Amino acid sequence: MATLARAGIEDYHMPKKPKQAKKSKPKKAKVDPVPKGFHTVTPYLAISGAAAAIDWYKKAFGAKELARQPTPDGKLMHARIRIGDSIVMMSDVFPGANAQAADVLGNSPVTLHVYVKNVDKFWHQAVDAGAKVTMPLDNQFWGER
Amino acid sequence: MSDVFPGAGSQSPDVLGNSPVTLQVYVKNVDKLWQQAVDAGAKVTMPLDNQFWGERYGQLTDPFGHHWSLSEQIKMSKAERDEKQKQAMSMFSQGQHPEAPEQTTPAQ
Repeated sequence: MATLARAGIEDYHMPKKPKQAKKSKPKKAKVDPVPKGFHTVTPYLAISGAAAAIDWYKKAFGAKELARQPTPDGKLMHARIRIGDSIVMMSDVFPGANAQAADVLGNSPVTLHVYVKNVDKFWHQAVDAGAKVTMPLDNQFWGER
Repeated sequence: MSDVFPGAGSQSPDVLGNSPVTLQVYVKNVDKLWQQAVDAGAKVTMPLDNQFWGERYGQLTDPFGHHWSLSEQIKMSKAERDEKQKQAMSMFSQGQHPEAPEQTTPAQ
């Protein structure tokens, strides 16, 4: 799916257009509809304590921090990390926002699925960082560990 | 996706009442995709509009309770960006999120 999404994004990056005779009008700067590095779909997490969460994702999943925009009181209006080739965005929860944090809701309807080369290593790093195991890592009937 | 089965780690948003995750979609013609989703019954939670960060962006909740945001980067004039940013920052300084549909007047 990621490959298909990437192909789609490349289509946006490289629109096919017929060559036109150049006019003397000043050239308008083109804006790419899709920011660099993004697939078509990107998860955006509402978190109570987004800054602490970024630290934890670095430790547990080897996330790279791409951006953070704090409010004066240290909450994050917006932040981006990258895990492997995928960007994950997040922010703290502010009054009036649509989404609510998982700790307030008591659960989440979304599971972020990660495919990696050495899942055992990745798994242990996350568990060592304090992740709670809800389904043990094992070989599954659909041909995945 | 899947249906929810007993013993699953996740619960559906209609049972939880909300979701902590918004799926952000970048597309070339955001107005077209937006209209298609709204016509299909998505609930608008933040109207599609030009935003201070240089995107045409809006938020929807699908009929199953999952949040989506649809967006594309656009060219905006500096004046428009500055004005939108001023509005958004004033809401943040009051502890409100810019996506809040209505700004409540602080009680004095």
